[in-house]
Amino acid sequence: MKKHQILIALIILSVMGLIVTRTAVLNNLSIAGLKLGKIQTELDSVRLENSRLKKELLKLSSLNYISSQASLLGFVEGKGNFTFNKPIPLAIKQ
Amino acid sequence: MIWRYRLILLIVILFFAAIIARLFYWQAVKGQELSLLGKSQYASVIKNLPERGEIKTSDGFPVATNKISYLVYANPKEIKDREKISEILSSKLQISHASVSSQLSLDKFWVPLKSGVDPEKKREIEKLKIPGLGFEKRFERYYPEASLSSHLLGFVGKTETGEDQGYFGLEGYYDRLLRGKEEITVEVIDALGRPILSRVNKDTENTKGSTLVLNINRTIQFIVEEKLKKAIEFYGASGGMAGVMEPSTGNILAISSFPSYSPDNYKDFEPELYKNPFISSLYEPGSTFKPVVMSSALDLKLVTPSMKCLICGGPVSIGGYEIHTWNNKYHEDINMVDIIRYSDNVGMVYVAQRLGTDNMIKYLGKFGIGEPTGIDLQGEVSKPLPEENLWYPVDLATKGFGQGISVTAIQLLGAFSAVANKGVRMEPHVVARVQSPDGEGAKIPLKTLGRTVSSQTAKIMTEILVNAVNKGEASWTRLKGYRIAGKTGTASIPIEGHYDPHKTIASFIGFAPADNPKFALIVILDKPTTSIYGSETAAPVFFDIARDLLLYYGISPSGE
Repeated sequence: MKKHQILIALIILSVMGLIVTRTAVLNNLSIAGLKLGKIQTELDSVRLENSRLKKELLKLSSLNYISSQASLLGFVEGKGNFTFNKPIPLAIKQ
Repeated sequence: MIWRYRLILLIVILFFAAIIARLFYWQAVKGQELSLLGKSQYASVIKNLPERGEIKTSDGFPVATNKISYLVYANPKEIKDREKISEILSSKLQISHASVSSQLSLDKFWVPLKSGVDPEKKREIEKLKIPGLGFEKRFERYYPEASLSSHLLGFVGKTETGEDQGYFGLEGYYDRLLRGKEEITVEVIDALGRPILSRVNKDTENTKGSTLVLNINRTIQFIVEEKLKKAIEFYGASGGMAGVMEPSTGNILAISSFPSYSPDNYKDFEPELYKNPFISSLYEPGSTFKPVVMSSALDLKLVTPSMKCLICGGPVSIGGYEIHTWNNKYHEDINMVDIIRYSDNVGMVYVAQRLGTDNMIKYLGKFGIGEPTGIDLQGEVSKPLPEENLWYPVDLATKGFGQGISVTAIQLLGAFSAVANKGVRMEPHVVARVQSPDGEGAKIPLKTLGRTVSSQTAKIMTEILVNAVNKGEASWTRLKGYRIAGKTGTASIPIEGHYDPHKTIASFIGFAPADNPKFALIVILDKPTTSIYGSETAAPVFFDIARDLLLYYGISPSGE
């Protein structure tokens, strides 16, 4: 009889223990959702900022923008060119 | 007594049988339905919107990319004070009050209000905390260089079902590669709709389309566009186009045409402007076509550079038509070199007659005239050559000097590049390679289309063209110190059965440096008004661009 009682008590204790554990784990999981939500919002915000900065960077490095800024700064198109090395003549008259 | 126990046992058995039957009903018969119902409660379906692939020039700069924008939508059933909300939204979104009001009065759960709303505007509207209003994140096409190479790029419009679709140019030709894939992922949520577990999904990078890396050189494209735009204004032309090709590979380094449009706001422009005239407009090339015919005759040894023209003493009459030179000056006993130098139409009639119709057709085919070049842009057209039995003697004669035949600018540039490339014709290509979202690249292979003339003929023709530049009508504007091969063109425009006496298509085509060509360039001005001649309008533009290209490539003068 005693053995049976001990066994039943053990089973009841195990079941109660598992119920408590399950409750604790599920509670933690439900809170994790809040953190996930916050991280997702932050991620979206960072992605948006990246997109804005990329757009700004591309605009500033576009040739159209550089050309207009160069004009404002007084740069003009170079008309002449020069070379340091003269072509070697085929023959020289002495 | 025993019967009581048996009765209770029977009742218990029947009770459990009923439970088992009910369990079977809910788990087996209704199982799938309940599972779906459960999923709709614990799972949230999220669509990962596709991001269209970028288009980059050869230096890696994205000339077509994406920016984040929002579609503002509303649930009319949740909006109480429609009049007031319509007022607020129409002012914030800068759309008419009537359109907002009409959308909010619909008996629907979801109505779109405005797309393309930027993130700053979205934040402003969010702060108003209007119930029933939502925002859907989308990717919108963005062109950092504005309308630079707009005809090359094309634009992204919408299909009938509202999906993004590329039209014209590269956006149209490579639409299937550029499109991303819409991906559906599932997120597990709690009773309040908050996420519990992270999403069950694949790598989100897979929603992106492939990226195109072009042969287009951004600097050369910019130079060509700026100079062409200024030239059109300076010479009072109604339009113009220019293209640069690398003869040895067929790589397209620049294509520009005006009038143009902005792919960002394509709806604000006339649809006629969308097509790229460089590949989609046929024109009669005039004297720029003469080197093609002359090369053909030289290749067959039907003429030699020093051979004299026997009919060049005056105008020539063929089939009831009298053919003159462009300036009514005639040179008796002129040779082939000088026919090109003086752009002598009568001389070219002589060459065409020696060539004959069958050889003319054969060689024009070798040069790619009358068939598409295969360039990777949407909208290329071509006009096939007439069958041999449909050629009259006057057709042969006029085609000899580039009238009575229709080509596109890309066809002529490809044909000329073949002469520059020792007689070998290459398929023109705008795209160098395609990069998949995971970083792997597939190079577009070079394609040889065939041999047009022998390398010896190509060399002879090159020298004839260098002589034409140095001593011909455009010699006043040539770049001293450089050997450049080229030809002017002043083509009459056919109009209602005859040629317009006052308007022309002025052009210049050439390649440089003549001995080892780095680029072939064509400049075409449509109906210039300051002068009708190619030598006075298109030629200076050609040499202006060529000078900058030679400087850009660091090619020093050869001393000539």
